[in-house]
Amino acid sequence: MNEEELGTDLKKRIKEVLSGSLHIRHVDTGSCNGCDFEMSTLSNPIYDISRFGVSFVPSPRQADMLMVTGGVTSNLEKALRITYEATPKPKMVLAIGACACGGGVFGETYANAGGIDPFVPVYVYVPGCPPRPQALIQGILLALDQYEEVLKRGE
Amino acid sequence: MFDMLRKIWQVGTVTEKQPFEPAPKKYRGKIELTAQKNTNWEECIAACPTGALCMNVNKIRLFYGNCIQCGNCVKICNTDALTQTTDCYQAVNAKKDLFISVDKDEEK
Repeated sequence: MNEEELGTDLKKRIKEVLSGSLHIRHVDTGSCNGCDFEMSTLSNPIYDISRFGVSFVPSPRQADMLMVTGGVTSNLEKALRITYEATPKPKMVLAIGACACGGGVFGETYANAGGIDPFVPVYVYVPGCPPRPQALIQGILLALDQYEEVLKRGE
Repeated sequence: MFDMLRKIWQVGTVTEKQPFEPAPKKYRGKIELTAQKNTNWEECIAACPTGALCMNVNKIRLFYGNCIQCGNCVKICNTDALTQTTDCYQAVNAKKDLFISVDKDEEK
């Protein structure tokens, strides 16, 4: 991966793997909104990820990718499972931020599961508190590589 | 309407061009862990708010999945064992890639 031209790479890879566009559904499982703000930064005029063919969609039924933020709280565990089941196969799951990767500042308690990997299979972990928008683009690129292999195997 | 057009004219294009600008110097990025003798590991571990840095018998282990890059351990560390970079590209495919560990008394 070339760090210098992340966006051009992203556009090229999306065209190769998904033939055009990538639709992302954001799932909040009890995060502090830090990562969510970084994610909405992707679609503002400064980063403008729409020019690479990426868009955020309001329903998991239209999505190729789930971006999950927050360590899974006991209230939102069911919501995560339902959202995952509603997404059409094959689906990518990204764990965004320290909380989704391993608990972060909230850790593992009776109310917080400490990471999303006990509930759903994760493609890419993007640590950071919060990660920069560039790091999110790198995460999407890594996920596309894995997605291509899954498509080749025909799952 | 003319106010809006004037504003568009004054502000111009704000979208970041390729390549993206690197993170500012003050950005707290990835923490790097290297083996060094006579480091005050106990104090560094006590300073970590999330338990990302921990000791396992003779191994010091850093889990990037929990690290919030606050830099507390770097401030307290008396050697160059822990350093903070401005690197933000940390995404990995497998969870095991998020762990790094070094020997407590090893010299590198």
